[in-house]
Amino acid sequence: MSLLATEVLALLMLATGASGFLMRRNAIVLFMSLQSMMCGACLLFAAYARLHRDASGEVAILFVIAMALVQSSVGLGLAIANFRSKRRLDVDGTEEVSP
Amino acid sequence: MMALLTWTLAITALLGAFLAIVRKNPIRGAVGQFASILAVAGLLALQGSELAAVTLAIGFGSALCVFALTVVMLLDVPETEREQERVSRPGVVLSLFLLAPLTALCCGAFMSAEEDMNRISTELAESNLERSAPGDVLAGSWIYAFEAASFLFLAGIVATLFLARRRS
Repeated sequence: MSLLATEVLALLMLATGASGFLMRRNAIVLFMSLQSMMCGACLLFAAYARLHRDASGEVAILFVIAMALVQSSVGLGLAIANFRSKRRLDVDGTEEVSP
Repeated sequence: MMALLTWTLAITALLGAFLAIVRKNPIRGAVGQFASILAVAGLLALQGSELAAVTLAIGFGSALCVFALTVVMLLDVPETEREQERVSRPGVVLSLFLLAPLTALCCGAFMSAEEDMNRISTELAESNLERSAPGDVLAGSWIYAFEAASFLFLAGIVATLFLARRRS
């Protein structure tokens, strides 16, 4: 796969994730949209790491994954708190959830 | 053969991500997202980033399973609640504004600049740069960021416990 094709794929994944994040309100779908955006970023990091023969891009992917894991754990806590107080999975009104 | 595999993985990654956002039931969408994650991991492996591919498959896959399964099964969310969701109308308009120019830009770039980009890629790939091991880089210039990531994990654990604790 050429660099340009990888860039296009990464951009489309980013756009798909961003669209899902803007359109949907379900906590699980929002989490999956964020993952799609991060997958696009990982593809770009890997492509440029290969292009420049520099492993820093691969290390950056590891940090992106670490960030995604932390985000999933905090998101899980928020979703549980939201569902306990509102009995809903929608994120509307999450600002009212008291810790 | 390799080109066919690459394009199959690329299409699977895109289709999976698309299914994840259009399916009404988030658990069915999670299956698409899981396929997308595996396809992206395959693409990373094909680009020579095997460590990143394995970490992505395990990390993202397990995060998705934990998030989706815990929220739906442990909280016992009813089927009706899972499918009752109003789509944000301003979000739809915003995403159309986002997707349409991006798709046009991608198609235009793909048709006009492919030869130039391929030439640049070939020139850089044929240069005599030695690729270092990710472990060496991680233990070298990225060591402080690596330590900072452990604090991020700690903060994540504390935040989750604080948010999910039962109120009396």
